[in-house]
Amino acid sequence: MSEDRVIIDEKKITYSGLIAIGGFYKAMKQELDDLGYGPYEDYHAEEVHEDGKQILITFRGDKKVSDFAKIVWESKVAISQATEVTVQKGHQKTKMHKASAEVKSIVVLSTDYDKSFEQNAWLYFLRVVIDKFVFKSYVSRAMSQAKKDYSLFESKIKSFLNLENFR
Amino acid sequence: MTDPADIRDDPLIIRFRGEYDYDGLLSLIRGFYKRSLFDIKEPKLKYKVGGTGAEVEFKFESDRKITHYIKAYLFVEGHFWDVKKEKTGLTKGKLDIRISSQMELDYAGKFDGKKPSHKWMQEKLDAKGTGLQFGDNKVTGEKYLEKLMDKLQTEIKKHLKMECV
Repeated sequence: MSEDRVIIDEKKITYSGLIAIGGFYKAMKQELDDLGYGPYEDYHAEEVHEDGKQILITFRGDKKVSDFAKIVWESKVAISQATEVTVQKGHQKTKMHKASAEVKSIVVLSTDYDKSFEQNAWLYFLRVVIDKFVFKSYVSRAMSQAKKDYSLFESKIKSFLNLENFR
Repeated sequence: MTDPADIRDDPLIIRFRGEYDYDGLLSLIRGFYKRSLFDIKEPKLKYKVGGTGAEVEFKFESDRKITHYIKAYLFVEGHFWDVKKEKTGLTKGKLDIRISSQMELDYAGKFDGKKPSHKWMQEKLDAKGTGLQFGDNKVTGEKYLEKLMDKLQTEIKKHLKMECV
């Protein structure tokens, strides 16, 4: 089993108000793609209820920092009570939604992800020693890379949502 | 010959509740298989008629020899509830579709461990994902199937007129 270190533990971004759901979804996916995580939708559910639409999406992806470490990303998006509204932007009318959105992200650093140091007890012991003393700087660099990626993702999403506030 | 390996740990899941075109959806999935040159098999189709509508379960399986070394498998499992055509021609109900795929290396068994060099190649190179042909296996096999699964997922979401496409 590879060694996993949780770097971002279920950090939330919440928003309530006018939102272009399609644009929000594309912004998240594009940002994760630009950061190099190759995101895919593990789970996508859309239900129409009396009080509006409910959309649940799980994005997953990973980024190999080296042949020893990789950053695993998981973002769960929940959009609830989405009701369609028509908004006047200048002379144009556009379709938007009034909804509550929440994005919960977990970022994990996984070392020895191909399990090459788990073939016997000696290699496992060697991995623990290397992780603690030899590769310490590489691992901390990978951890700071993951934190930087998350802050970029968070600022991109917040700037997109803030833009909706001023429309 | 290696056992088929899953491309992703879990299948891609699409869940939907609302109005959709039931016949069009199944035709879309069958058409996708045909366009992607996969030989489709339907080993499972259950149709149970109930009070609020029919309950349908199906499974599509298919495989395709991509190269002389790599074979791709694509599976789609679906479960539909309350399948009942309204006056509009659409069905109002809920559905659950799961898309998964597998890749098999050396499906013909040409490197079946008869020679020590073949056994070494399978254990040390293919299984570890290294070597000269690793890049080829990854691009023509793994990445191709990942793109295929994502493409099918997007087409299904477009057909269901989902917000996030």
